Amino acid sequence: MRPIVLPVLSLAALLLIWESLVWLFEVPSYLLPAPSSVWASGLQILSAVPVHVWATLYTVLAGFLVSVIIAIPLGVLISLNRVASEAIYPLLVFANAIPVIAIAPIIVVMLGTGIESRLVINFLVCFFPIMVATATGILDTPKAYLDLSRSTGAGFMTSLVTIRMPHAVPFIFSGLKIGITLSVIGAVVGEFITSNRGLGYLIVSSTTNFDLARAMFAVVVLAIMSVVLFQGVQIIQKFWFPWSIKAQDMK
Amino acid sequence: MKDVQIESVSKVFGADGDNVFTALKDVSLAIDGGEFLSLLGPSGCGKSTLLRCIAGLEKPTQGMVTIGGGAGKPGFDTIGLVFQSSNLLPWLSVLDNVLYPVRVKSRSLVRQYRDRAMELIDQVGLTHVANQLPDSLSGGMQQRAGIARGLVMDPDILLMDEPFSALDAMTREELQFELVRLHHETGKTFVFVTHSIPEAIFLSSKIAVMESFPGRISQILDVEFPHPRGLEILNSDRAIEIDGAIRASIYSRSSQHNSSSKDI
Repeated sequence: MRPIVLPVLSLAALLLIWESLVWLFEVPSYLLPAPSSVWASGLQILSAVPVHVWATLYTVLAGFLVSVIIAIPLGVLISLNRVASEAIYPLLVFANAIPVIAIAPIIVVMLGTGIESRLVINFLVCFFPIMVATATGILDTPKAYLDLSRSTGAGFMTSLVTIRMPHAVPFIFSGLKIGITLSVIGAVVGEFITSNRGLGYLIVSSTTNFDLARAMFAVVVLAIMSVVLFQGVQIIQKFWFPWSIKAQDMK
Repeated sequence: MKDVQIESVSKVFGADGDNVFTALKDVSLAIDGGEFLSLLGPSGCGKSTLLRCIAGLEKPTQGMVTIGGGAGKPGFDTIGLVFQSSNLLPWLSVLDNVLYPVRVKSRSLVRQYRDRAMELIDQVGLTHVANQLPDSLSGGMQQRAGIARGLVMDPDILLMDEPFSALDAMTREELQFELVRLHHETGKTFVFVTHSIPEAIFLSSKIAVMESFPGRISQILDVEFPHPRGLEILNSDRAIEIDGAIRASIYSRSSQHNSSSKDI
């Protein structure tokens, strides 16, 4: 009970202090809105919220899915094939080193203002940790497991499918948990640059009008979305790969 | 039952580099079909390397290993392997772990071998945990599952690499009894790597004593006790005699080794 009650209490205390400070010093709401006005502003645009949430969520999930589909096989490839690894790994490191906020405007000019740009931006942010986690997991496979598969006559592919890939699962999930959170960041960056919908758009359009209360409301919704998505990945892992949770805890 | 012929096998690691290490030097050994042979020796004597050569996991630098008189590579179902730590795959249930060698051979065979796997699991007393993950099992239970996995393809030869070394003394004794029984019931050829002299005497029909630097066989002893065996055989005159011979061969060598190193 305590681990739930305590943070709730401290959050309530923080909001209370915030609220009373704003009230006490009569801080104008275009500098710092009180929690109550953030809430009120949220209620005001409530009917429009689902549209924005859905727009952002769509980018987050689509971008994440594209990243996963590309990053996992790529991780397997670079971990198993020295030539592939030497040929493409430096490029991938370089691609990951580019600040996404710097390249985002360029991508928008190249690909237009549609979903494609946002997917590419999103991919650039979140593929790398997933790929590295996959490669690390594959390379971490204990020699004894490989001996077992070799002693039973397993070929390269069988050993990959029955030993290396399952062993990499807890590693991959660590990457996915980082990836889904980064995917939210990627989606917001994309919406900052180009969009007419979404929580990132809501923040930009609100701040242009000095409507900080509304912008903060969007930020809170984004944070909640991020936490829910993170938990979603955790639940998928618990449900389909329960054994991998323990393996991860032991590391 | 198939025999194993090891003919002047040498194994050198790191042949090109500076760290050349001769793990085995000119080792010859004949293991008869149905024999329970222990490879006994101090660590570093190459007993595990020799086992891995028999299993086909290492290729001898020189010499050859023939199984069942056939030249060339034996089929993978000729040999079962039991590992030092049980080496169960944590993502598979006990049953699926036991079926792993079948799965590798062909996915379509798995269903066919299910009953056999369950029978083996029953023989090692794990029926009640057959569907659990290995993680929830004790070390002894995990090693039982490892033995069942080694036997699932009904191999002619079961190779075991210090399978009980990670277990507590009581579990170890219990499993020794079961291993003797399994050997007796199946009549297969068992090759067992250990560094415990009493364990080797209790289990084996023949003991190959090994020495290190470079690894080689120094002595081969027959252990003639009839079956079923009890632990009391370890107190018999013959056992003490064998024990003495083994210790003499291991320690005379190591004391020589020590004195020679003192000279330097």
